[in-house]
Amino acid sequence: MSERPGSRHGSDRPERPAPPRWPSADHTTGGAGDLAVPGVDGSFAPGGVPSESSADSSSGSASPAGGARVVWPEAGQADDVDALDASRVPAVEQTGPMRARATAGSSPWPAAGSVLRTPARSRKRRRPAETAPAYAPHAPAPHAPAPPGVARPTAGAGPWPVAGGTGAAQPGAALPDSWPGRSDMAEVPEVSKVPVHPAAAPAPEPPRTADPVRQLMDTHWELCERAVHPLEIAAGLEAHGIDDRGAVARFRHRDVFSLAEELYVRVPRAEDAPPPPATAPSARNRGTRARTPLLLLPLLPGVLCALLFAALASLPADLPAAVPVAVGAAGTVAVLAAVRPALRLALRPAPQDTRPPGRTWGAALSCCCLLGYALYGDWLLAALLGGGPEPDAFAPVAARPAVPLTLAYAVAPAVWCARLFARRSRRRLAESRGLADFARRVRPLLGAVTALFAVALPLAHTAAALALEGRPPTAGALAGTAALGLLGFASLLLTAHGFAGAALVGTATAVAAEAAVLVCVPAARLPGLGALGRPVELVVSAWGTASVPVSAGALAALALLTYACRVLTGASAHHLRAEH
Amino acid sequence: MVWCDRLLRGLGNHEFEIYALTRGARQEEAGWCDLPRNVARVCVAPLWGPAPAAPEGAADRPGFGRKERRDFEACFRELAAAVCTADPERRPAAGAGSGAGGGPAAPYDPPVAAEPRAVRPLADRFASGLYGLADLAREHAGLPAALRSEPALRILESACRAPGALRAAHSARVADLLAVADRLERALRPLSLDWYGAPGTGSGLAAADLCHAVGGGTAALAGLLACRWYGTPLLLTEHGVRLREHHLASAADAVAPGAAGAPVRALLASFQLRLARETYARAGLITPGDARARRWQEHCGAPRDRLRTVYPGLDAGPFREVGEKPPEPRGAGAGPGAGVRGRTLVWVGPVGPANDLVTLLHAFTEIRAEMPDARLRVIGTAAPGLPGGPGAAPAGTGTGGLGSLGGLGGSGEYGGPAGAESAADYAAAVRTLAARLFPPEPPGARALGTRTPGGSPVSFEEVGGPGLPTLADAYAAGGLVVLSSSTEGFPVSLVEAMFCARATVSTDAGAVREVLGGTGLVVPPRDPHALAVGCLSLLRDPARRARLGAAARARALELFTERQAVEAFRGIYLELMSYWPERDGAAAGAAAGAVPAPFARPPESHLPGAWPGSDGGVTAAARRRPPSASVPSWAGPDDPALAAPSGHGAEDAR
Repeated sequence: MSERPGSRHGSDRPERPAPPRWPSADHTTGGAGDLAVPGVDGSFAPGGVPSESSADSSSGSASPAGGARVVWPEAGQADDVDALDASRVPAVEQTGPMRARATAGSSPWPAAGSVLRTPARSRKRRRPAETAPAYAPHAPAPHAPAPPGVARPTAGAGPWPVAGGTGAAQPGAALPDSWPGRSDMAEVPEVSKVPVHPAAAPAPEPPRTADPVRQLMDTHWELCERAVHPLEIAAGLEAHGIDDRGAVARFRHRDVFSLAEELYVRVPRAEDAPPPPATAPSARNRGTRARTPLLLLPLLPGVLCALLFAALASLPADLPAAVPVAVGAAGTVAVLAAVRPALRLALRPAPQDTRPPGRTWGAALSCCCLLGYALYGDWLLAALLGGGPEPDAFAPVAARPAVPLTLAYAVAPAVWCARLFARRSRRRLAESRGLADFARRVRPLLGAVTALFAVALPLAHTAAALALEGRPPTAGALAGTAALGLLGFASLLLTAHGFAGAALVGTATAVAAEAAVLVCVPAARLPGLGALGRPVELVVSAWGTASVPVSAGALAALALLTYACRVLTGASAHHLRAEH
Repeated sequence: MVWCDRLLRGLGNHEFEIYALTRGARQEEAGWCDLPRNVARVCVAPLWGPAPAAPEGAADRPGFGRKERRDFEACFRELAAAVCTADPERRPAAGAGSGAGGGPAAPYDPPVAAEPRAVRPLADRFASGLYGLADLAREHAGLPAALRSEPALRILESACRAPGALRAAHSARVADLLAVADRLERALRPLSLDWYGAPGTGSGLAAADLCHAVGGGTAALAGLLACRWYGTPLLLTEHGVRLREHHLASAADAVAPGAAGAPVRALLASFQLRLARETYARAGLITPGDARARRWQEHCGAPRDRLRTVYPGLDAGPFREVGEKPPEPRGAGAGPGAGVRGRTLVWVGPVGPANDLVTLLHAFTEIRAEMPDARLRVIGTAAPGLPGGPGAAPAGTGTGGLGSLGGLGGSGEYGGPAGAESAADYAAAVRTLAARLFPPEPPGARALGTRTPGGSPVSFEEVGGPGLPTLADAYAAGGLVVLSSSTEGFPVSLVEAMFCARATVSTDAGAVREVLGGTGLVVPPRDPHALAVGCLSLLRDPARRARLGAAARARALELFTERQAVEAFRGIYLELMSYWPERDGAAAGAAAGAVPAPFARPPESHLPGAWPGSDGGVTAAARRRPPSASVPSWAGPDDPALAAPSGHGAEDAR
């Protein structure tokens, strides 16, 4: 309930027990937004006499000599200021919704455009200087009995509670401390603001109503319609200077809380359509547009990998063997180093620090192991099954160059798909009305994203194979790459949404399966353990060496994707990142 | 918090342990000022940032197993149901009387008495859920993760859709549920802290004789738990009622772009309300800082017989010299032109939008029209000294040192940096306005009697700048102190002006009237004309000014001194401790299983030092750890006891 800068506030101060309403001056008291001096009419003629009264000394101490002087100002300069207002306020006609509101309650406001209400939508963004509500003196309540000893002037004659007819226009005229009205003035009257239609401001008499709460309601309409609890209105009213004394004196309420409860009941709540989803995605879109160059970052590993192969191919043949090895090692390190910032792009949606980073690193390490098997595992398995490997056998440096290149390029679609999933699912988060609804909306999204990646991977592999090897890849190679890529994609999705543990388990299981195969074959050579190697031999003889990584990767990927389909459709996987 | 520091130093014979919650990184970076020697232990825990990782306390607290998860769901279901359910209509015809006329209502119907029985079951459900979660978190780590988990969301959803739920909660979307779960996790973080120790170990809150929570809401949670588990009496001090601040921030959020929707605000407000009610119901004594806080507490169910208003005390020492000097030289004549100082208005405080300097400047144009040689000096101070209403609370710009303790009060709804920026913008805008309203006069035109630089009648200065080395000098610079705030908590600058025996003209905001109590002028806020008339009437009457100033000083010295606050708390501490039955702590050495007897210990036995006939005091004195004065808590990790986290002062006065 922001203090609205730039609004004009008049004052209307009643008094206990039955308050008359005294008009008061009307001034521009704007905040930072409205620093223009209105009309530069700074020469207010102080026509009233400040009254003196003992302020309420509620805190127990005896009021010392001197007493409290409570100064209440006087009306008289309102007209020119209000004329200014009328010229400034552009829209004074009543619009549909506001009209409905003004007449919905039990207000006896005159219907003829007497309530200044700009439309609710425009009021949200209005600039203070343009449509600040004008406040004007309110008519005195006719039934107000004057306290004994106080000659209460009428509004036109200067509404000051003066003692004994000392109503001369002497601002400094001090009244004796023992003037008879003192005890009656012990309660300081309270402030409230009365809105009035600007067009009616030049007219001498603003509309009068028997319902003071109605005016309060109009003044604090936005606060009231947005409040979620009466206490919120109470806090807002107090911040605007209305407290228990004001509630008792002016609004006939026991305290400000019951006044707030009435306001809460009488003002209809703002429509429930939540604006936040409308603004939040736009902000996000703006952010992503700004980061478009950043989104090209996932292509970097692929580019580096291609450069590495190009460099290896262009090396002169007569160099010592250590040089290609060194170049290859350096290139591998560079590619892996480029993978890390690329993956961070996808990991950003999740609250990173809630995950122990060890699990993320473990999953990444497992993926590296799987990659190593994809490069050299088939060769090693074949060698092992054939009784080898020979002590001096070297693995081919680039046995299947298309595989690493494909996987390096696969980082890009993986990251993009993961980000797409995060963004789209967050939008569904704001749209869905329930958890089941959300799950229903997210499940096809997850499937679509996975399918997108699954399609992109063989395409990349085929392109890479054609470029590097000059022929399309075999079905086994395609399947192996697809399985490995899907496993990595599933673990990336899970990690990005806070399930790094599951990702670690899935990838580590695949690594363990492949390692077990590699261990079983030499272990079968030991006496008595020959049975260990039989299944492997059977599998390899039936489907070839490529079946091992394909089956291990595919099973793990399937398990992880199934798990992801269960947990990523839950809303708790999409907690927003902690802001601070 | 400054007053906490004063309390620690004032009650030197009590031993304190400080448990602080921080609301942001800036608070932690600000560090601590020198702690007095009677602070034995400082623990800090963040209420911000990502949820603490579960395995932190894995050694002694295993994670949630199947049974714990079931228990958690049962407890959280209770809590969610209590939070999501609307209050039964408490006063159905609450506002109907206003239009219908009728006599003015009785000024104070006790709202507490009107608390119907229908509310009780909700409070009971809330309490059982809260304490059930606390018990779980005490035994097992992983409560934060569980609060963010899918089952928690499901429970929350079903509670929102249940019949009788809050109207706004019915329309909650999934994003709202997520936001609520996130905020609840933060608010309930004190449950999983390791501050509580165990009975008999002599460490943590279990060993404290009294918990003094300096702020309601989340900050009081730790004290609430200690009260439940160990019977530690809870003293709650609220200068600005946490619930009220929450609602103010929530209302401000409502119009902010991209803010949380109404369901989130409704559910969080409901949670805060239930928590406040529970806290007020359990607290042994509640000390509001002013009458407004008291009214809020009463409205939220604080029993009246346990409310004691304790005004935050200020140090009157720096202002003694100025206050005892007569404001204007005698014999200068009583006319309206007695000396430059007599015609100078002074405004002192942190410059911010809540201070409404624009009104002051407009009022000053009127004053100038009547009294052309009047001067206005706007003197900015660095930081608010006290937590207050909406004016002071968001302006957490200068919370250095012990200001970190200020984090206790809340859970980080305020945009701190934004507040600082808007304050700077506001200061610049005010200067621009002043330059436009009061163009600098040509040199020499009014050289005599002009002390402000540049010839302008309005000057902007800072305390510590040239000519104003101290705050007291700022008040001494003028004959009349003006406070023009549109919103205000506890008006510190007003009290300081009263210490300086300055007559004041203040706007009627916050606790101003209560503080002033008849020793100064009160005008309606945002009304330049009223302000001008008030200032003029005092500027023209030096005798009245002096009279008011003297009265103000007398009143301030009686009510608002540091000594008064410290003595009040000293008495409250002893009283609370004496009401509580003796606990079989390690120091008391009572036989286990003995029936606790109220009044078994006189309050004096809680004082440290050799107390004849009470070996407890001797034991405590011997047991006292070497004080870790002026060492930040994280600077000494060698002492394992110091590495603990959270938020409020626990007092350990054996």
